[in-house]
Amino acid sequence: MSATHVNGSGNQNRKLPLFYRLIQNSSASVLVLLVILIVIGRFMNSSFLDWGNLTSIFRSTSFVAIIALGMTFVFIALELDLSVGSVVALSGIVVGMLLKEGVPIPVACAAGVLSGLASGIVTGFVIVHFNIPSMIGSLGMQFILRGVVYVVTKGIPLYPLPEGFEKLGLGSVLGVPTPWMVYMALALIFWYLLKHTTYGRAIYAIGGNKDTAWLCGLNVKTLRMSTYWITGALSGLVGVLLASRLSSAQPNAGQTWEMLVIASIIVGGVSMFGGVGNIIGTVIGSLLIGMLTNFLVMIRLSVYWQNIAIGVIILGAVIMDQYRKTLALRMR
Amino acid sequence: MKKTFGFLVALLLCAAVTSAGQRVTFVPPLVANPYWDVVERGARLAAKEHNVELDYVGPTQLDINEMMKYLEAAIAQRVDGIATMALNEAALAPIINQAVDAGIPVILVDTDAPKSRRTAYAGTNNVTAGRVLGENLARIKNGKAKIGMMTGALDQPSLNQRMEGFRQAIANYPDMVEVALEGDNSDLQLCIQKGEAMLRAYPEIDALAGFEGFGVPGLSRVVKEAGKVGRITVVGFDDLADTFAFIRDGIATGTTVQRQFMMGYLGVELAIKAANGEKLDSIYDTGVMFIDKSNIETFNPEAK
Repeated sequence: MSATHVNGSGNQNRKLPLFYRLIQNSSASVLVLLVILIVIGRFMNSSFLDWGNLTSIFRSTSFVAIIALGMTFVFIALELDLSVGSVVALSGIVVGMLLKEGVPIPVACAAGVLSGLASGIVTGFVIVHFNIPSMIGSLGMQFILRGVVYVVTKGIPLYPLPEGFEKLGLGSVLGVPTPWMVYMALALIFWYLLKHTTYGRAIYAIGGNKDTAWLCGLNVKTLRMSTYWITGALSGLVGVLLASRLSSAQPNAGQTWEMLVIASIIVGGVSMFGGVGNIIGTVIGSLLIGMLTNFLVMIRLSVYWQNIAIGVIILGAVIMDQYRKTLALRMR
Repeated sequence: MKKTFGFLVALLLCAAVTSAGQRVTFVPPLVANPYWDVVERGARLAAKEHNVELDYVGPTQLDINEMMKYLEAAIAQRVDGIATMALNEAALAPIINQAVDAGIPVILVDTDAPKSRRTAYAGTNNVTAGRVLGENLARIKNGKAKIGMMTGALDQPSLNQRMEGFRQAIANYPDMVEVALEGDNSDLQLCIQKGEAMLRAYPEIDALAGFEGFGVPGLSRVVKEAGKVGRITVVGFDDLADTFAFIRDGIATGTTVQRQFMMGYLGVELAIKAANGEKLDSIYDTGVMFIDKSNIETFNPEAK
């Protein structure tokens, strides 16, 4: 990046307040990348923007995206939760087993979400009370919960599940996939929670500087633990939705999803170093990461090249964001 | 004192059994598991036919250390032959070699350990299995199809061998064309997600072939949800519970299954043949069966 180029953009921006605002906005660069990918997708395959394909993208994206909402809180508070994928499997198995016992569908679903919340409570407690690094604490929980699933199921999926249960994950409301509707509602709630409540401010505060937050009278320990309750409950909900979508509870559900979740929020502008990030960025980042699988098949890229493409796009997103920040800094 | 007495009686009984006939120990990686239960019945039939004593013992959960304990016990008892499955080649190779050095033939079934000095291996030849699927799809589609393929992880040898055989088979039919290949990492959700995208990206596809176990259940859901049942043929491998359900419902056409009954049968038979000094081949193909609506109800996994 040359200095003249940056100055050039700087001069330009005084005439273009929109560009200036875009540069200042943390979601701008990933939004630009998302639009570029959509244009490429449409150009390479005319049916990329068909409603049928969009609903397919929305439905499959919502699972990882719902967990990313919670992970945004976790990262802003400078925590890390690697157990989310295992919670998805655990919750699915809980729902599956209860349904097979003849428990009514709403009760079984609630139990699935609660099993996720309970896992989150344990994870948070272990990390905060024993004061162990969140990476190790949540990694331990990832193994333990996945292990519980394998002990209970012996690795065999729970199938078939009662009729009617599949409506939750497979159904649509007004032509929009139900999981995506659930995701949109949750995004709105968590956007409000993070941006417009004292709780949200407190999360930023403990991620910015825990000691200062403590001196300001915040209950840092409870606040830290609460972020794991959120990821736990949301992962539990996703476990229910996924089991419904697959009309079976799969022991390997959610495996390696923690990496997709983290990629989604980092691409969306959440900082690895705490205190920075917002829900709008996370939503755009989740859409970008969630769209990739469909996008790469739709542009007919060979399966052997797809991993390279995913890596390049993730790196591209983060590099563009870094460039935007430098630009914004020079413009002050 | 009582213990010693019991031990002596056991020893005597052992001696009696040994003198009466030969003894084979079969150590599966899992007992009380649907797949391995069929293997056990094959082993028991062979034991009955060859009039040998069979110890079928193994852990209730996948546990390499437990397997090794059973194998060590079998070597210590100087049985006439051992049959087992190479759950982990590196861990089991030394103990397999130890048995062979002690003059006990070791037959591996299901999963081979080619780096060990095992006597013989009986299992599915995945290239042949792939060829069987290819031939059957060609028969179903009258030699004319545009095929979308779904594998699992790109580096899984068994899946790559299945695809190799499949491609060999369809190469004989000029109108059987592979249109697309995708991988789902053996994840049902990803299989559906990529399957949906594949049908949109390649609308000409009129046959879907899954190469890992989730292929038939995943691709059947895709075809069903897209409302294309009957227009797109779904075939694949293995016998997960929902795979058979989709074939019964007419959404999937057929699946290629392993013949684990033969693995159990050959495990015992080959062990006894080797013990009696017969020269064995290194590898025995237990073959596969193509299951479709015509034979799914009469399908007997225990047919020889």
